[in-house]
Amino acid sequence: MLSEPSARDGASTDPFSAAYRELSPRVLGYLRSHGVDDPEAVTDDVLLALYRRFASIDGGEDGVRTLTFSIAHARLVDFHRAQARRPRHIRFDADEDPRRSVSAEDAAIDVAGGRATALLPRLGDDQRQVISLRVIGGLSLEETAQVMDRSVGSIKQLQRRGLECLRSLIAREAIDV
Amino acid sequence: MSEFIDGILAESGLHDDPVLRDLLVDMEREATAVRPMPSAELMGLMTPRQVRPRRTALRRSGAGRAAIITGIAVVGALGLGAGAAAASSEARSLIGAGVAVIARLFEPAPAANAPAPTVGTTQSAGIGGSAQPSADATPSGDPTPSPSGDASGADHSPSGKGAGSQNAGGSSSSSNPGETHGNDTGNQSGHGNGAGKGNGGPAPTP
Repeated sequence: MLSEPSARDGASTDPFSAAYRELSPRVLGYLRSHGVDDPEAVTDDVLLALYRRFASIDGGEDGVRTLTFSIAHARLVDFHRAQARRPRHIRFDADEDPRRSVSAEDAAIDVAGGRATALLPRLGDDQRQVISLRVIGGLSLEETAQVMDRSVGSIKQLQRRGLECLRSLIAREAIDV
Repeated sequence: MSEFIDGILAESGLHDDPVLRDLLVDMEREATAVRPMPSAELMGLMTPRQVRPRRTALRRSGAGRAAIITGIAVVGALGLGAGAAAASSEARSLIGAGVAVIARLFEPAPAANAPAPTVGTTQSAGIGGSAQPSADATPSGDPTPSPSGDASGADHSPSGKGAGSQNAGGSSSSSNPGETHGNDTGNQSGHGNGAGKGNGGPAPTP
């Protein structure tokens, strides 16, 4: 999936730059879909950590992708642990509350392709992890199992349940509309 | 990417749900739409071509440093070798012999008609002639006798100094005035001045 950079674009042709161009949007989307406070800063931190270990990575592009999301997953776990120890006090914003009921307009926009990622927080934690790693991160079943330190079978199960949950959410919102 | 989404749906037995498929395709597109700007640190890491000349310079300075270290090591080894040679008496004698050979090469050749130095070449030319041997007089030099029969006072001692003075003639303080001491040379200066003060005549009799 890591596409070779083109020298015609004026972009750097070294492997790390190519990995950055390919993976940084995915890492940012993965962290953002899990509600990390400053996803850009954490993305930068993840890729800096990747750079330090870049020369020792085995497995080519798949190895780079797996290591990148392993680091991102670890940062995400750290973030949630820190949040659990020291809850932040923020102003309540009704639009950001996942428990709110979706308006007809919002549902129409979501189903039309405007805010598909907004459905992710409605999944359970593990299901959200698997769906985001697979769809946003572009990892295979085996790579996702490696990142989450689970078996491939359990990942497959979580994926199936997550997809069924998404389908039911879409159907419910379509009915609501 | 849609093929990848199709694979995910097929793994879960949901390949026949186009709405779910479209949702997943949109999810991937939305999530990866924003490309983050790298920080200054990451930007510096991703432009290694600007660093390459510095790496070359470091390599050069490393080579120069290696040359300096090698030079210091060689000089140190030479110094140790010279010290060891100086501490050895055999080495000192060998070096001395070598220096002598070299010095002989640079020694100027003597002139063909130059007079060979002899012992007592400064013969007494009369009274007041200095018979002091030159510094290069050899002990085996044969003193040339004085034609006048005067005691030349040539010193036969290697050192050119007389073993003592012998008084003759009137100046003798011997209790036997008619007795001559030794020879007729009169006063012989043991200092080899060849003054010939002795007149060679017999001692006056009373």
